[in-house]
Amino acid sequence: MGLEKLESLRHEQDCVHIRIEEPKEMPQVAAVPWELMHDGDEYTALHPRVYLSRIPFGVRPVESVSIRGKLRILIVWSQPTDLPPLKIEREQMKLSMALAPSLRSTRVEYREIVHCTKEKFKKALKTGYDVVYFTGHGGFDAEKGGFLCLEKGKGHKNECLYARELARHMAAAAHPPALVFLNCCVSGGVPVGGGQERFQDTARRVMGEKVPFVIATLTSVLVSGAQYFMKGFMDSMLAGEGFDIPQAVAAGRGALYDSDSLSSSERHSFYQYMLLSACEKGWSLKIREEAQGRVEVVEPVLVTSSEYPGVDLGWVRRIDLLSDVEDAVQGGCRLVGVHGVGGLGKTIFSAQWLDYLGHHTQMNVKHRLWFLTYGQGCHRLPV
Amino acid sequence: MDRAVTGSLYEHFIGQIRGVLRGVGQSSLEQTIGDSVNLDPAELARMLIKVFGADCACVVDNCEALLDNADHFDAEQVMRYVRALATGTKWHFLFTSRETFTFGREGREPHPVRWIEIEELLPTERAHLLSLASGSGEFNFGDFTEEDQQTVFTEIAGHPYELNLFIQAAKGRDDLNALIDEIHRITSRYARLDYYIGRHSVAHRAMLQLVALLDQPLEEKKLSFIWKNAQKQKLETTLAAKQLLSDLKKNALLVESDGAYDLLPVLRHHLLRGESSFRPTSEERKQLHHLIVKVFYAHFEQATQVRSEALSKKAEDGDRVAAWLSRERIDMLHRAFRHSWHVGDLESSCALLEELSDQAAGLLSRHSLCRYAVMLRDIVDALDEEEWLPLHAIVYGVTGKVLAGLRMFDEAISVYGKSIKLAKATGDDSSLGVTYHLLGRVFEKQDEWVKAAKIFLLSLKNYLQYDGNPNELIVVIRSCKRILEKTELTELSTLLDQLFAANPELAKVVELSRAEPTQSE
Repeated sequence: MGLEKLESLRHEQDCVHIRIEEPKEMPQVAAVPWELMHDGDEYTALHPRVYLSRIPFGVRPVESVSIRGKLRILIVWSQPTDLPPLKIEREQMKLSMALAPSLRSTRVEYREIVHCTKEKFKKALKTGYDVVYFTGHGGFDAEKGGFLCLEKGKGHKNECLYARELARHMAAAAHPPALVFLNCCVSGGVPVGGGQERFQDTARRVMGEKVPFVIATLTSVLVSGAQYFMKGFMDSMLAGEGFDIPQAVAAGRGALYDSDSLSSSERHSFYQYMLLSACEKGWSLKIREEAQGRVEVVEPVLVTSSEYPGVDLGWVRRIDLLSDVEDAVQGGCRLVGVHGVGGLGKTIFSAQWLDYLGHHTQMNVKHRLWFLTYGQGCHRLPV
Repeated sequence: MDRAVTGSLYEHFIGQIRGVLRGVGQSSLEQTIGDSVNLDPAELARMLIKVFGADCACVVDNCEALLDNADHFDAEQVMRYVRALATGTKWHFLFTSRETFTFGREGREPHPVRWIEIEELLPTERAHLLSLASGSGEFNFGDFTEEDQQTVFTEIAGHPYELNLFIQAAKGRDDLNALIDEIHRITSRYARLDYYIGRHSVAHRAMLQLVALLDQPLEEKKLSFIWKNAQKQKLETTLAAKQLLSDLKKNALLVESDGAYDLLPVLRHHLLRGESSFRPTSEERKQLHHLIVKVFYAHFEQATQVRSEALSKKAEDGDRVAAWLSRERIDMLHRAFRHSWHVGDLESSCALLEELSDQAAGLLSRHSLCRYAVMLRDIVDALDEEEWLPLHAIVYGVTGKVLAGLRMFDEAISVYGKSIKLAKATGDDSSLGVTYHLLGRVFEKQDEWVKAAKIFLLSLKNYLQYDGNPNELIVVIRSCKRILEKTELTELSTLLDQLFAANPELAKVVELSRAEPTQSE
C-alpha cells in the first residue's frame, strides 16, 4: 500500500488499521522496525487514527476477543537485585495512579505480584487473567530464546523464565490472556539473520498459546521511556467504554514521543513498542455478560458484634491477601491467621474476608461470625 | 508489676458472644452464658454449634490480646475459650494478631494455624487509598510535586494508619515540601508515629498518655473531670479537655465512638510497650494511675449526690436507683483496684480490695459477681506465693467470700486453704481466726456440720490466743453455738462453757446480738 493510499484512507475513514504480516518465507520482515514508518509529514505509528500491528506467521487469526464479566488484570513486578536497578518504584506509582480511577469500578479487577518468582507467576497464570502486564528485565538468548528476569529466594536474585516455559504456563491457564504486555527489553525482538528458529522471542512464543494481543519491544528500552509508554497506554485503554488495544498502543507511543522531560533520542524510542495481533476485525476487548441462568444462592447470615467495622467502598480491597487466604482455605486449612504490625488493616481485612464469603459460597457456609477480643475503633480516611 | 492497664478480656469476649446470640434471637442462651462464671469452654463450643450449625466461618480479631497475661490478667482464660471453639468445632476461622500463635497443648500435636503475613499495601492498593483520600477538598495528592508524590507513595502510603496521620498533618499546610522532608528523614515507622505525636503540645501528649492508660474508652465528661484534677496536680495548661480531645481526634490520634474516646491498639502499644520516646515513666504512670483512682472516687461521689437528689424527687424509683448506685459503686471500685494493682501499688490495692470486699457480695447482681470472681481468681493465680504480703490475705479472703457467695464451694475452700497455709508458713497466724471462720461457714453452707464445727473451734482458739477483735469474736461464738445445735463436738462446747464461765457478760452480749445479725454475717 502506497503512502498516497494511506493518506486517502485516513481522510475517508475514522481510523486506519495497518497490519504487517510476517511471512514464513521472509523471516527478516519481523526484524524491520515498521513502527518507524514516516509518511513525509509524521511518523505513521504516532498518528492517533492509524493503528499499526503485526501478524506473526503461524498465528491462527481470530475475529474478535471478548472477556467475561470484568477485565481481570495481573500486574507482575520483578527487579532482581543482581541486575541493574530499574527505578521500579517510580513506575509502580505511575502505573498504579493510572489504574486508580478504575479501581473503584466493578468492571476492572487487579491482582499484583511484587517480587515475582517463577512459582508465583505460574500459579497466578493458572488462575486465568485477561491482561498480564510484566515489567522488569528481559532479553533474548541465541540458543534458548527470549526470557523474562524473575526473582528467586530471599536475596531476590535473578532467575530467567524462558519463553517456552512461560508459554507452557499460559497453555495451562484456566483461559489464555487476551493481552500480554511485556514491558522489558527485547521481548519481541528477533535476530536479523537466521531462519525460522529466530522466532523464539517471548512475545511470539506467547502468541502461539492463543493469546490474541501481545505488546512487546523490538530491542532495548529505556526505563523512563517505558514508564511514559505504559502510562499513556493504560490511561487510554481504561478510559473508554471498550478496551481498545491498538488505540491505546498508539496513545502510549504518543505519550512517550510528546514527553517534555525526555531527550530527543529517548522520545524517538516510541518505535520500540509493537503490537502483535491475531485479530482480524475486532480491536477491542469486549466485555460480555456472565453466563445466564445463574443459580440463586442464599447469602450466609452475618452475625457480628457492634464493633464490626463493616465493608464499603471506603476501604481498599486487599485482593492479593484475600487470594492467599482463599488458597489456604482451599488447600484444606481450617484455621488461618493473618499477622503483622498494627495499623496495616488486619481488622478491615477480616471484615473483607467475611464479605467475600458472602458472595462466594464454595465453602458451604451458612453463618458468618465476627468477634473482637478487645475493642478498638477503626480509622477511616477522610473521604 | 509494671503492667499495662486494660479491661477484662473475659467481660469483653463473653459480651461479644452474648451480642451475637442476641442477634439471632437466643436471649435465654445469652443469659445462661452471661451468668456462668464456670462455663466450660467445651460447653460453650457445643452451645454455639447448636445455634449456628457446623457450617460457619468465624473471625476472631485482635488475638494478640490473648497472648500475654501481663497485658490482660484474664488473657489465658479467654484463650481457652477461643481454643475450644477452634478445636471443638469444624468451623473455618480467621484470626488476626500482631504475633503468631498455635493451639498447642502439652504432649499433643498442635492444631496447625496457617499464618499469612499482612504486609504494606501493594502499589495499586496504595493508589486506591490515595485516590480515595484525594479530592476531599483538603487533601489532594495531585498538589504535590512528582518527587514528593513518590516519597508519599513509597514511604507512607503503604501503611494505611500512617497515611491517615500524614493526611491530617498535611491539611492546611503551605510548606508540604518541608513536611515531607522531615518525614523522609525518619526511617523507622515507629519513629514516625512519634513524629506525629511530638507535633502536639505537652498538654496534648499528656492527654494521649492518660487515655492510653485508661482501661476502657471513656466519655468526654469523665475525661474532663480527670483532666481538671491532673491540671491541679502538675500540668500547667489552660487547655480544656474538650479542646484537646477534639484536636487529637481530628489528627487521627484518638478515635471516638458513641461519645467515648480511645486509642487504636497500634498507638496504645507504641505508647505503653513500644519504643516511643513519649512512653510515660513508671513514676509518671503511677502518678496518673493514682489520679485516675482518685478521680473515679470523686466522680462517683458527685454522681451519687446528683442521683440521690433525683432519688428524693422520685421516690417510686427508689429501688431501681439504689440498685444502680450499688452497681456503679462496685464498678468504680473494681476499676480503681485494677489500676492500682496493675501498677504495683499494693497499699492502694489493699485498701480498695478491702472496700470491695465489704461491698461486693451483698450488692452485686449475680452476673457482676461472676465477672468479679473471674478477676479475683486470676489475681490469686498471679500472686507470688513465695513472698508474703498483706495483699495476699486480703485477696484470699475476698476471693473466698465471693466464690462462696456464688456457691463455688470447692474453689472457695481451696483459696482459704492457700491463705491458711501461707499464714502458717510465714509465722503470721494472728489473723487466721477470720479465715478459719470464713472456711467454717463454707462447710456449714454445705451441711458439713462436723467439719464446720472443727474449723470454728480453730477460729475461736485463734481469737482467744491473740485477743482478737471483740465484735468479730462475738460473731464467731454465735457461729459456734449455731453449729453445736446441729452436731456435737465436745472440745468446742467445753471451750465455750469455760469462756462464758470466765466472762458471764460475754454470754449476755452473744444472746442479745442473735436478734440483730451483724454485717459480717
